[in-house]
Amino acid sequence: MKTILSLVCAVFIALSANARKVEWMFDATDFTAINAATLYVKYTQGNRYSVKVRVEEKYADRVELSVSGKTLQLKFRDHGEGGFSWEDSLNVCVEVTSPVLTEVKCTGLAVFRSNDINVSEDFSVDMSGATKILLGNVSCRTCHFSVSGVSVMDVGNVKTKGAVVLSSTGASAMNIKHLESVDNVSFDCSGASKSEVSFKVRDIDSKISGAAKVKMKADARDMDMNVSGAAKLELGFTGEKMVVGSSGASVLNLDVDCKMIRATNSGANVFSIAGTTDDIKVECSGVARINTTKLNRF
Amino acid sequence: MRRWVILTLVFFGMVINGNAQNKIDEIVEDFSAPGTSTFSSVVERNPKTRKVVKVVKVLQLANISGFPAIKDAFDEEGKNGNLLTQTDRETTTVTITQENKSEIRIYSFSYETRTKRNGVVTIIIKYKKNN
Repeated sequence: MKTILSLVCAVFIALSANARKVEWMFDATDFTAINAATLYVKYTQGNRYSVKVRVEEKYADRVELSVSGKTLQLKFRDHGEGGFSWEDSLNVCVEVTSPVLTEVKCTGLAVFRSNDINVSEDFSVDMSGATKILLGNVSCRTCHFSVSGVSVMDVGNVKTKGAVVLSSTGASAMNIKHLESVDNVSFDCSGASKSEVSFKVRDIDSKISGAAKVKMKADARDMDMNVSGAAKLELGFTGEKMVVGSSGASVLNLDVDCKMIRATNSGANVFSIAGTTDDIKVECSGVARINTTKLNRF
Repeated sequence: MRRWVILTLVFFGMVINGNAQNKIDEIVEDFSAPGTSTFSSVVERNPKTRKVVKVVKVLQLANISGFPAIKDAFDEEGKNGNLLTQTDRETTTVTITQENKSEIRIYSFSYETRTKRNGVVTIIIKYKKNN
């Protein structure tokens, strides 16, 4: 995903090379949060504050920058004439450097790109609309990612000392290469969202509903998983105990290596389980289909 | 030549492994039954070696719409082992015992004699070498 976005960026930067560009510096300090609306933010964590705007001349008067409290507000004023696409937003680029970043909020057609982020505080990302965010590795205290609309989130390795809350709704996509925490993870997916995540955490509490599609690799002590609607889950789980509830017309493909599984199925869902577990009990109602042909093959 | 020998061995290995599964295993391990049903499986291990000693699989079906298929599977597999049928007023139990070099498999199917409902299929696999 990162490669594709990089290529798209390169192409548009190349195509717009001939367009007249203007750039200026915006004087802002002491901010720890960024609120971006319909523009391209390139963020770098560094030991100074810097905000540099590079934009096509025709868009220059539509860029609004301000600092409100601890938040750097970056906004591209949309005249409401339509036709302004996500690709156009790449031509409205703001390069930001700051020592600490704890909060990112993207709306409209914003694109946010960052190298590694390392903070000792809590870190949160809130995306809505048709935004895109590309983060390198993230290290923080607690972590809260919320993605909605048709937004796309692509994150490298995440390491936290505290709890993690992840939420993906609408037709959004959330991809986390690997998340490691000594605390718990809460992971909710709904709507037509699509997620691919990998966790190594203490406990996982997850709800997948609607027509959400989730591919998850999880290494945890306990996992509580609830799947409903027409959701589809592909899960690799290593740990102690797993409690699964599934209903509707959901499809679950589990590959496990754990001590115990307790599952309840209702509706017309399909539940396939492979791997190894020493103690499993699956209770069904409705016309659920249970497949354990690849389970405990010794 | 060596490659062909390996491929042939792998093929026969797959066939032998495939044969270890019979129709009863297939019904228990891939079922879809209307109404209430419960599948459970417990693995018993040697506490010292952690090797698997015994596996017990149980499929309970309240609405036994799959009764004919299960009965057919037991009739078929009964030919490959010792078949024992016990019937009283309440319950009928069909038991098959199969044994080979590495394992003993016991299959049992219990159901209400009169209604042919509330069926329970139990599979017990004892691994000889791991005891």
